[in-house]
Amino acid sequence: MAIRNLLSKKGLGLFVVAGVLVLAAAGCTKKSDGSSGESSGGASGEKANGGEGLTIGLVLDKGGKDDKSFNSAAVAGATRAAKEFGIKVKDVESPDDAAFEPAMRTFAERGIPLVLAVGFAQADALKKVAPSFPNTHFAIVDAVVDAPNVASLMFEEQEGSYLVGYLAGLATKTGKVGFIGGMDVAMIRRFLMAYEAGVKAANPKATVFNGFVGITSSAWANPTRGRELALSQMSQGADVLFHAAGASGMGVFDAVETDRKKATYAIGVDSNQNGIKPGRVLTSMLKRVDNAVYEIIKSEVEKKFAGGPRSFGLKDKGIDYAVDDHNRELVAPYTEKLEKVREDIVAGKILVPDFYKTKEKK
Amino acid sequence: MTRLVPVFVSILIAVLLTSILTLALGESPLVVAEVLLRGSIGTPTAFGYTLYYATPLIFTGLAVAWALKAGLFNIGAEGQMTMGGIAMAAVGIVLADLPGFIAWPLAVFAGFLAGAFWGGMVAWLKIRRGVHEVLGSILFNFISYGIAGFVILDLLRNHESQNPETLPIGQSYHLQALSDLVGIGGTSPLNTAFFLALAVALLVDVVLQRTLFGLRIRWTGGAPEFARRSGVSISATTLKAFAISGGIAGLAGASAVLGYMHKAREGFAAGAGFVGIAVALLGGARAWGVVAAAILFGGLQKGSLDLDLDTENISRDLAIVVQALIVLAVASRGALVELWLLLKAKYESSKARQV
Repeated sequence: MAIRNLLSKKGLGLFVVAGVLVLAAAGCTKKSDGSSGESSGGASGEKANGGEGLTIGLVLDKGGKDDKSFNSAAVAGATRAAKEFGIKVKDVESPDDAAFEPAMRTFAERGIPLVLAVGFAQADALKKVAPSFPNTHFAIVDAVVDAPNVASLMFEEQEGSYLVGYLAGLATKTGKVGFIGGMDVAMIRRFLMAYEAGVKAANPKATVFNGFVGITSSAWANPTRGRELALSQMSQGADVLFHAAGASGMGVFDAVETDRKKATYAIGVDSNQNGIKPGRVLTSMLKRVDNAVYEIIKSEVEKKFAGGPRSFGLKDKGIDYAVDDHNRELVAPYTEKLEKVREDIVAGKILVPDFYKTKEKK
Repeated sequence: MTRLVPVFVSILIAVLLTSILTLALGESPLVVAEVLLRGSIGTPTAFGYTLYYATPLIFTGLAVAWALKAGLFNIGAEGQMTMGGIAMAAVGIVLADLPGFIAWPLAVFAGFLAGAFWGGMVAWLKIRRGVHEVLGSILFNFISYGIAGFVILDLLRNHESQNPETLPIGQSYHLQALSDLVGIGGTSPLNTAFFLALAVALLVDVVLQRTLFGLRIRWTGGAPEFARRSGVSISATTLKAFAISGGIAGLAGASAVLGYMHKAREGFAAGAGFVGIAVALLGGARAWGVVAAAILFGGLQKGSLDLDLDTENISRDLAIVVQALIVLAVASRGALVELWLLLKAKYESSKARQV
């Protein structure tokens, strides 16, 4: 019946009129929400001593929330925070570069107190949006946006790369190790530079091969090319391969598996990838985007949000390396030395070269 | 007006099917309609975004519609748009210091030329080598991606940025945001490229309907044998028509490159060339129809962004479903009319038998 009503002209007319009415109503309520929402939100927040009724907005990168790496990690962190503090998380995936801005604005206009932008591609958009909403808090992952109400969540990737480089240097039998990067950008150069330093620290005579999948964003999703690069480095004698290549890294795991002598190992990145090829993955360098997202939401809930750059590294486990049942035996011989290196980095006794800083000097 | 009716019926059918889909997903169609309406026209900013998203679609839609009038199917608007955008960015970077009154018109002209060159090559291959323009234009898309990659990531790359993008274009090339200029469009990136699109629509309409050249194009498309016997050179008209179609598509990047990002970023065409085909179909291959269809599609694109936010089970991908349903409904219009006539005839004959 309802469908037939819709079909008829009268039905459509009603449909449209209803739509417009609802729209008008929504417009009105939104306005009144905007002013009262903030104050009531603050009051209830204090009462409950937590984030009851709070909503956090998450603007995801083009990869979407099921990319099993970066965006997924951000969603996981936000979900954990949501459960713990009893708050709500809304996320929006952006289909194109022009969509970041309206998504951020929509969140801010609805009085959402904290909006998280996931990924450096959103930096330009956030630069434009943040000044228009001085009372809204923003956070961006992997980029620095200089505004008082923006927290820039940066990761000390070089610390973790140095650490897994050191492990690679210890573990290599041939004295040759490899690195496969995704897109050739400064961030991945940062991985490479520290990785090389780590390898040389453990084994000064070691050779480090490196290769990049490409120079466009499709380089993050080309496992075939990742496999080719890995196989080529293996044919030159590399027996430990570290990848920082997103989904292209899957090809590196495949390549390592082709070694029948089982003497070649891969090192994963970002999330714990030890389980992808159990026994063939030495470890994974963890970049805990989830922890960073969790921390910033926590600070918002506790009303301790502060703008400015915030870095996550070895000291706060924002950067780490993964040890689990898949690789415990593999890394056991080296754990002691690795932990020593970790302590030295945290204590500042080892200065890890940082590609970003060397670039600034030039 | 009668010509318009079937299009509206098609849209109605698409709306109906979408309503069923949303019901099946456990959401009220009314809520979805409300979200889409509010997200696309509810605020000045939202409407600004709708028009911003519509702008490249007007260009590519016009390009496809123009070619259709000449009996040619231009699937290469994406590639022509890419080449045009690259050319605009290149001019804006290399000649960054030109004064304003010449700067942006020069960039726009460069965009047109690049697109026209890209379209013209396809037509040339068709005339000289018998390569069908559908095949030619689709293959040229891939070549354009390669060239765009080379220019954006190698020749003109901004090494300071993590994003795959070129250096910024000169200030004098910026197309002004309408919010700064005339105070419309809220905080959206809607810019004067929208007016450029409307001007091109007007031009296309006038040329096709009121000029001898337009007449030749329509003859070539509608009755090639008649055109040939009347002394119209089919190959010359084909070449010109396809080059101009490419040129129009070449302008489509203006909104993003000159008006919003002020640089060319990898993938700035974002499928507008392909959506343009649907826009041209929906617009009945007529200039103002294309403008209306582009605004409808732009509204869907913008409105659907809020679906992620305001509904539990429906994501922004619904916009693509709606667009596809509209195109399907439009494409099957003939069949619908026939079905209607058939049912009517059956009904009447059964009525006659009863009497």
